[in-house]
Amino acid sequence: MALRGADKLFDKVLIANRGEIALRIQRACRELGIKTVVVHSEADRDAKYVALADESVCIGPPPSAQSYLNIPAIIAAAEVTDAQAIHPGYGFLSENADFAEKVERSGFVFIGPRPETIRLMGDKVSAKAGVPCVPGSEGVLPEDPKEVLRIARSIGYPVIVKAAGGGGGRGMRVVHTEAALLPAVALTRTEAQAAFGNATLYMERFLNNPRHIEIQVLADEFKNAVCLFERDCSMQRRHQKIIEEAPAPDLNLRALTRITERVADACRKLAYRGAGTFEFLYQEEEFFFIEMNTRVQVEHPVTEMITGIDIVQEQIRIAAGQKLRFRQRDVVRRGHAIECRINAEDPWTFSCRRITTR
Amino acid sequence: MDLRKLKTLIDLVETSGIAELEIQEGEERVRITRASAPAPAPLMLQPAAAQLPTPAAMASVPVTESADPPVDEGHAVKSPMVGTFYRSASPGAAPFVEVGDTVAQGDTLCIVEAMKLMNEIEADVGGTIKGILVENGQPVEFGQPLFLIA
Repeated sequence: MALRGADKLFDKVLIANRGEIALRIQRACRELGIKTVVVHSEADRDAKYVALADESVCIGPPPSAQSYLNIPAIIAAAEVTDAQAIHPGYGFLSENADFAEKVERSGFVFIGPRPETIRLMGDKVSAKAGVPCVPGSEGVLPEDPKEVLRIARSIGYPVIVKAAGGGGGRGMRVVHTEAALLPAVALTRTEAQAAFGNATLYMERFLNNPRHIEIQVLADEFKNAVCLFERDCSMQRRHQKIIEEAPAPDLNLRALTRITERVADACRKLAYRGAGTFEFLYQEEEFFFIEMNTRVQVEHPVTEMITGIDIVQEQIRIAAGQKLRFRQRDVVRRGHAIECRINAEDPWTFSCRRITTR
Repeated sequence: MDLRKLKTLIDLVETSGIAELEIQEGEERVRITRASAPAPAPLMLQPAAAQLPTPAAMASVPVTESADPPVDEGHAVKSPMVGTFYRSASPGAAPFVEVGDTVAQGDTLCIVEAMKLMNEIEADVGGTIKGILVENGQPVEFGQPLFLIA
């Protein structure tokens, strides 16, 4: 629906991304009567989504570092095309606080949260947001055995002891009972020192079978925050989401309502602006916050399908300074939506390969 | 767009399963939305009625250069960045080069300005300027041919 006069959000938006999300943002802009500029590398010059935009600017050679991650080139493209706002999509620079800051300092609107918010929520240590996290040692595990026992008790068994220098499944040990704790910690420390040269450990509650449940939010500049229900993204392969669905089946509704309230509160306290997702691990009817994504996500369409709300359009409206036109009680869901990510993968090497036959 | 064409499009939308149709012909654009499209949810913020926005002037100003310079006319000096092309160091000053000038590799040919910084663009080969492909003050993109040197 083309908007006129005072209703006009932006005259022109620059899309700093490529492929599917660039096309998605174009659709939202077109529906809002906003002109689009798509920036692209030389590799995407002939892509269909580039041709569909009102304008396009080549910003660099194929490597992302010199094109889609090239901040000066993107801002220069916004300058020469007289765009008012820049939508970063997902990936690339979408959660780069420096980019958001430079965009704003150059006189453009960044369609996303404020740079400070991106910075805050991007730091896994500071991003607690007042929402319950996986109980943990909150730092390095001390040497004193009494302290170690006390910490484990407050976390709650089973716990997992992790080497700070480890990762990818290495340097970890699960402990189910208090009796087994101190020997396990000692052993893990020795192993960590030998394997990583670093005996630093920390401890967390161990979740042996969690689901990945995330909550979509929209918040405007007037401290109005609305939750658009949840998505279940538990089906993953090598930590990549493969299937996402909304709503999540079989959740404890009281727990969900409570966590939704905490999430909305967190948004207001953070003065969050735009679209965002709070990610949780859910096990035994409890939610544990892991991190927040301060951008629109690949799986946003399943939420759009059950709520009828166009998340990308709302991002643009919020960025243009509009108040959310609906309240929490206006958000109703209907039906069930599932997204499947289809990937091309070599079954022997697990790597991406070129498709050679149809 | 004449009324008969419009009616054909409206009929097409009505008889087919299409929910939304948008057609652009030159400067004219028409978007037809099916009024009875099932709403995905009770939250209906936009009227889903057939609309006829006034044919907006689709002022498309592509920054891309539409034609490639003929290869046999020489080596194309391409812009290494996005910005605004200026032929001289400052307004009113003489241009760095004119067609017919002889330049050596490394000579400044023009300025490309971005984010308030003036970047001097140098010739990557020596020879004679055969063509200047961009106008003063025009936006240029990465890789856009600026000069022909032979």
